[in-house]
Amino acid sequence: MTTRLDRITPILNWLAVGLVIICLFMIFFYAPNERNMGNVQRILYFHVGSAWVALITFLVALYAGIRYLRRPSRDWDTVAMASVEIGVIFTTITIISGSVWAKPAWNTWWVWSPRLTLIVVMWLTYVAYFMLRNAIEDEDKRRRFAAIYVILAFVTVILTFASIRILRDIHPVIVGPVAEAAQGVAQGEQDFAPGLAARMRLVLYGVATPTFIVIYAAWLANRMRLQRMIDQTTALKARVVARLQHG
Amino acid sequence: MLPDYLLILLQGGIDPNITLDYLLLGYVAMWVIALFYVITLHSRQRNMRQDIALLKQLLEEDDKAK
Repeated sequence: MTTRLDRITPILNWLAVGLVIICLFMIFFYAPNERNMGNVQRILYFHVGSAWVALITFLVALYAGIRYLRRPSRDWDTVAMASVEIGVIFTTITIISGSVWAKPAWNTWWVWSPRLTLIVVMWLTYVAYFMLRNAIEDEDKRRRFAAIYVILAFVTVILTFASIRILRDIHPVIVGPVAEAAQGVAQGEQDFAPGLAARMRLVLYGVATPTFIVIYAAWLANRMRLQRMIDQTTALKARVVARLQHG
Repeated sequence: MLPDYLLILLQGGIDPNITLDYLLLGYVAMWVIALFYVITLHSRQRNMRQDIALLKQLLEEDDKAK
C-alpha cells in the first residue's frame, strides 16, 4: 500500500537535489568575494544554513516531544527521534565547517569560547539522547523519557543561540542585534562593498537556508519511512516467532 | 550607484584564492558527512526491504504448508 509519505518522499528528494545544484551555483558564481577572507568565506553559506536548520530540527523535536506527552502517539515519537538524528548531522556539519573556516579567519582550528563550547555541549546532549533511547527496553517508558529529554535538551539550543549575543565571543554575529557588553572581540566579520552585501544576504537567506530546510524535509521523510519499515519488520518477526513456538 | 560587475572589480581586498585550500577542505568535509548519512539511510532502507520480503515469504510458505 502506497502512503502519502511514500508519494511525497521522492518529490522531496529530487527537490533537494535540484536546490543543492542551484545553491552551489549561486554560492560560487553569484555570491561576491569577501574582502578580508577571500574564497573561504563561501563556507559560511553552508555553515550558517546548516546551523539554522539544526536549530529548526531541534525545535521540531521539542514540539514533537510536547505533542507526545500531551497525547502519546508513535508518529510524534518518530518525528522527534528523526529530527534529533538529522539535527546531530547538521550540527556536525556546522562544527566542522566552522572549524575549517576558523583556521584562516582566526589562525586556529578551535577556541574554547562560549559559543564553541556551548555548541559542543549541545551536540553531546543530543548524541546522548540516542544513548538514553537504547538504554531503556520498555517501549512506552523509552518514548516518554525520550520526549521529556528532548524538551529539556532544548535549553542547550537556546544557550548556544544566545551566547554570542550576550557574552563577549570571538565568533561573529551574522544575524540580529548584539548586547553592548558582548561587542568588540568578534573576529571574521564579513566586509563587502556596500552594493554586494545584498547579494551575500540573498544567497544566504534566500537560497542556502531554504535549501537546507528542504534537505531536512527530505531526510525526515526518508527517516520516517525507514522507521515504518523497522516497525513492520518487528511485527513480522513477532508473527514468525509466534508460529514457530506454536507449531 | 555602480552596477554589480563594476563593484566586484573595484571592491579590492585580498587575493580571494589565498584561502581556496580551506574552502575545498570545508566543502569536502561537509559533503562527506552529508553523503555518509544519505548512504546509511539508503542501505538501512534496502536491508529492511529485504527483511520484510523474506519474512513475508516465510509466512506465505507456512500458510501454504498448512
